[in-house]
Amino acid sequence: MRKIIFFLGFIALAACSADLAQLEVEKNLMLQGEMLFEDAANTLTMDNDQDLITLIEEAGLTTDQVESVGISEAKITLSSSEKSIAESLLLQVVSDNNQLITLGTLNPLPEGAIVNLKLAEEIDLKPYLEDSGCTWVLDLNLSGDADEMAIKSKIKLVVNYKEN
Amino acid sequence: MSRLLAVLLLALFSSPALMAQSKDADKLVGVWQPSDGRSYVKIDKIGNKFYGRVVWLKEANEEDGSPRLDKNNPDESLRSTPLKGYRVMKDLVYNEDEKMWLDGTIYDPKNGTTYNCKIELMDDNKIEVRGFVGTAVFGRTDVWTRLQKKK
Repeated sequence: MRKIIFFLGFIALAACSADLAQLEVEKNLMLQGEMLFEDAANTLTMDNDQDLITLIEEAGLTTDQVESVGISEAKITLSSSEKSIAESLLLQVVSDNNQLITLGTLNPLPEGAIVNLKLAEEIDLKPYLEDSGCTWVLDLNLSGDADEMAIKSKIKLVVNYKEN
Repeated sequence: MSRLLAVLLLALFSSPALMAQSKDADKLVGVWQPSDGRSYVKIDKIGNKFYGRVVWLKEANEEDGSPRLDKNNPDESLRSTPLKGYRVMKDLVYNEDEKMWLDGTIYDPKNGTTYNCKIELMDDNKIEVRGFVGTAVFGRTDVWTRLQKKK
């Protein structure tokens, strides 16, 4: 009996997920902030400039089709002066009606101007991209002094959607 | 015309109240020291919510000199995050009626547990931070003191 229930459950699951497809969207971020603390934790932010509708419109999708939005890659580009004082990075997102969540982190930073963040598990950005006040937040620990910083990031979003 | 007048009157009378509300809410912004004196937490505002980050730790490094990490985080992929700079306090929203910051969370890196959190201002330089599970009855309160610039 248990085997039959398991089998039926598997069939139901397969039926539900069969028509799910994925769309990968690249998004550029420019995170800016004033470095208030020398040798300490500082923050850069960027107001989200593309909601879910604009992200998927090129692909001809509607928001009703979107089941979830994950992240598959987060790259941060640092200049040599930024790299020389940056100790660690933590990329997050928040919106008016959703809690601040971590997307990825990196500590210590490896060699090279472009670094790949280690991504958090099981993230769904859909509620953030549909909400007002969506803000990308990059926390970084510094081992030196800086006035202002503007750091480029490129993230790959994975839109899981139902095919019509 | 009457609708326009009503909107203008509403804007005229509500904006000072809104400004006062924002001023009260922003009293939380600053650098605070928990009662154990082992860290400083900077509380700032992103959008309409308040967040606290560890900006100084008495013991920022392990015995071998490497930075102390968030090794108890339930998400294994985030355990390499240093505790210095960590956002331990998240998503607090100011409630004008209760004169408190509510609906946030506070994270205890010692055990990797996130608690519900509410904060009350005792005076301009002291806050009561309560971490709790479920209802606010079951929890712990700590008094934090604002760090002030030397005169």
